[in-house]
Amino acid sequence: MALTKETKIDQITVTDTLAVLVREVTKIIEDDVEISKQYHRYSFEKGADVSAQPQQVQNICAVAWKE
Amino acid sequence: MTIPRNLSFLAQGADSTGVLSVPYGGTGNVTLTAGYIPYGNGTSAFGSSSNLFWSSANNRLGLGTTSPSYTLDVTGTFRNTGIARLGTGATTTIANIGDDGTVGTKIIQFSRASAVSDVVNIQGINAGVGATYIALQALGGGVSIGNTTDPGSGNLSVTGTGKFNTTIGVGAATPAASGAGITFPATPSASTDANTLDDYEEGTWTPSVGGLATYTLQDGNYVKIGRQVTCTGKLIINLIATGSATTVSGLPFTCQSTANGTTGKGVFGYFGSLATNVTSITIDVVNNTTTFTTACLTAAAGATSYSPNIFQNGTRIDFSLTYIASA
Repeated sequence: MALTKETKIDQITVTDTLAVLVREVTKIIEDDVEISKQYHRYSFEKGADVSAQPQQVQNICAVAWKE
Repeated sequence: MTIPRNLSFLAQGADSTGVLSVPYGGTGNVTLTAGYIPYGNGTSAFGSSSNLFWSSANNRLGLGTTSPSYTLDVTGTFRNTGIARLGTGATTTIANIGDDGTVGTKIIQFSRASAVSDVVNIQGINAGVGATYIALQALGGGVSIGNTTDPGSGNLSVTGTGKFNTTIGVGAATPAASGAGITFPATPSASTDANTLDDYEEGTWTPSVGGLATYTLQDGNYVKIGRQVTCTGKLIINLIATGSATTVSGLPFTCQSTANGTTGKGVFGYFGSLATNVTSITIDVVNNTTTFTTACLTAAAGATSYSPNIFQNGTRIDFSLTYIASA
């Protein structure tokens, strides 16, 4: 029985107002079978400071908010 | 050689006449109808019937028919008290029930004795492996349970209630491995039908005031049912720095855009160290954003003050709000 825990960003949504919605998912895996899943969300309006965010979030924001 | 006394011989070239009866090893018949299979009848002559027929032209056996269309063709009901084994490893169509030339409902009936608890079990088995799945209508067409209405290809129609002991997945979602309930897709597939629940999600979120503010605590939970989002949160600002004094951001979903600003509202269960003394304060989710601001009264008045500066170093707010998401 092998238990693993993984957390990753599984969804980044850019809305029509250029808000960026980020969803992280944390999964508990037992022998390749997902036994638990939890979400955590945060969001940024256009122009927010995202310098402390994961690189993929920064990249999406840079593209979405490019003038 | 000894010859019995009752044995007689025909003269050379003479013919025997008459019918050899059954007791003497004959059939008791002068002729047999072509195709009719004779059967024993005691000491009487062999019987025969149109219900037992062999077609020598194409090697077919007819039971109840003199024109068998298949190797074994039965007109009427037949019974098998053992296990009927149909097909071989090379057979694709194992059984073809019904006739293309007939109309009406086709019934396959599994009967069992009354007042016993035995069930009718249709079981898929892989030889040497064990239980496996059964595919229904894999080539198209629907399945109806409890009715004879065509549900349409690939559809299921059930008259009555359904029961699932654990979880079901909709929209191609993999059913959750724990608990009991409905599992929706991780990415919603929105329905345009007003009576269709198309999404459910729960999780945590991070409230903030943006800028370079630092925090003692940022905590939040949300539940999204369809497009309705309910959030709870607790925010304790350490140093507000360049953060907003009016607005909390980071809501998990964008609020819908409405012409009259009838968006989401909320309440504070607790607040402390606000920058302004208030007599009442409520939450107002900002149209088409992931933020909320406040509407306050600092003294008895007929109208609230919208979006005042209330956050500062050390401010604590415990809150709850509900709004309709844009999607």
